[in-house]
Amino acid sequence: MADSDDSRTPWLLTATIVIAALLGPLTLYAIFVMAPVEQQMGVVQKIFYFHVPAANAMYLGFIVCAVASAVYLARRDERWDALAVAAGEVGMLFCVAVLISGPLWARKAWGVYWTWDPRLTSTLLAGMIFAAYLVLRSSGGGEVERRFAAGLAIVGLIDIPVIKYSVQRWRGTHPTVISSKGGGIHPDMRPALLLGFLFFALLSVALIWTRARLERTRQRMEALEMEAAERGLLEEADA
Amino acid sequence: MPELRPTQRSLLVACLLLSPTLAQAQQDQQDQQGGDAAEGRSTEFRAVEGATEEDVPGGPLLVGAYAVILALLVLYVLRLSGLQRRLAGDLGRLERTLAAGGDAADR
Repeated sequence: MADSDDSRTPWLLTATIVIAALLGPLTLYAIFVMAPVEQQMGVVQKIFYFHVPAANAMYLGFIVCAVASAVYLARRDERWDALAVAAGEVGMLFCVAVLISGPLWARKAWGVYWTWDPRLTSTLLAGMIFAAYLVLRSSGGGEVERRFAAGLAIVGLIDIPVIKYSVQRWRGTHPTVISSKGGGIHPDMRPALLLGFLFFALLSVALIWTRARLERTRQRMEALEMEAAERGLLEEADA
Repeated sequence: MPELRPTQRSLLVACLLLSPTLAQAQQDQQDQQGGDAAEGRSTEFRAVEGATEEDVPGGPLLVGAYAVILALLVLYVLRLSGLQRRLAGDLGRLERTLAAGGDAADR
C-alpha cells in the first residue's frame, strides 16, 4: 500500500472528486427526468436508483475494511489500519442510507416499513457488526482495541455474501430485479441505474481515500507527540 | 395390548401403509405453496402506460429517501472537514510547543 506522506492532494483523488461532483447532478437528471415511472409502484420506485448503488458502496466499504483489517493483523502496518477505519466508516454511512431508503420504498411496495426478510435481516446484522467495529475504534486507539476490532471486521465479512445471495437462496419478499433470476428493468431505466452505480462507486472511493489520509495524518501526529513526550520536549515547553 | 379384530387390524395396516404417501402429498402441496409465494416477489420493473392512481402517496416517501441520503453525505463531508480543521489546529499547537521546547533546550 502506497503511503501518502505528501500533504498535497493526489491528482487522482482530485479527479475522482471532480468526476463524482459532475456525475451527481447528471445522475439526478437521469433519475427524475429521463427514467420512466414504474407501472405498479409509481414514482417511489425511483428510490431504487440510489438504494441499490448505495448498497454496492456499502459492500465496497465493508469488504475493504475487512481486507485491510486482515492485512493489518498480518503486518501490523498502521497504514492498513487507517484504510480499514476509513472504509468501515464509509461502509457504515452507506449502510445507514440503505437501511433508511429501503423501508421508505417498502412502505409503498409492501405496506410496511420493515419485515424480517433474509436480505433485510442480514443487512441489519452487517450494520450492527460494523457499528460495533466503529464503536470499538472510537473508544480508544490502543493496540488491543485495534486488533480486536480488526477481528470483528473479518467476522463481518462473512455476512456480505449472505446479504448478496440471500434473495436467491431463501424465500423472501425483497425484489430480485437485477439478479440472475430477475426479469430486468425497462431499457429506459438503465442509464439512470448505471449512472447511479458509477456516482456511488466514485463517491465511496473518494470518501474512503480522503478519510484514510486524515487518519494517517492523525496517526503521524500521535506518533510525533509520543516522540516529543519521550524526549521531554513537551514538558520543557509546558514549563 | 388388546386383541384387534381382523377389520381393525386391516384398517391399521392400511393406515400405516398410506401414511408415508399422505405425508409426501402434504409436503408436495407445501412446496407448491412455497413456490407460489416465491413467485410473488418482484422480478422486473416496467414503465407505466397511461394515467394511474396511488393508494399510498409515493412522492413524500421518494423525497424523504433522497433527502436523507443527501443529508447523510453532506453531514459526513462536514465531519471530514471538521476533522481536518481539528488536525490542522493540533498540528499548529504541536509545532509551537516543539519550537518552544527547542528554544528552551538551546538556552
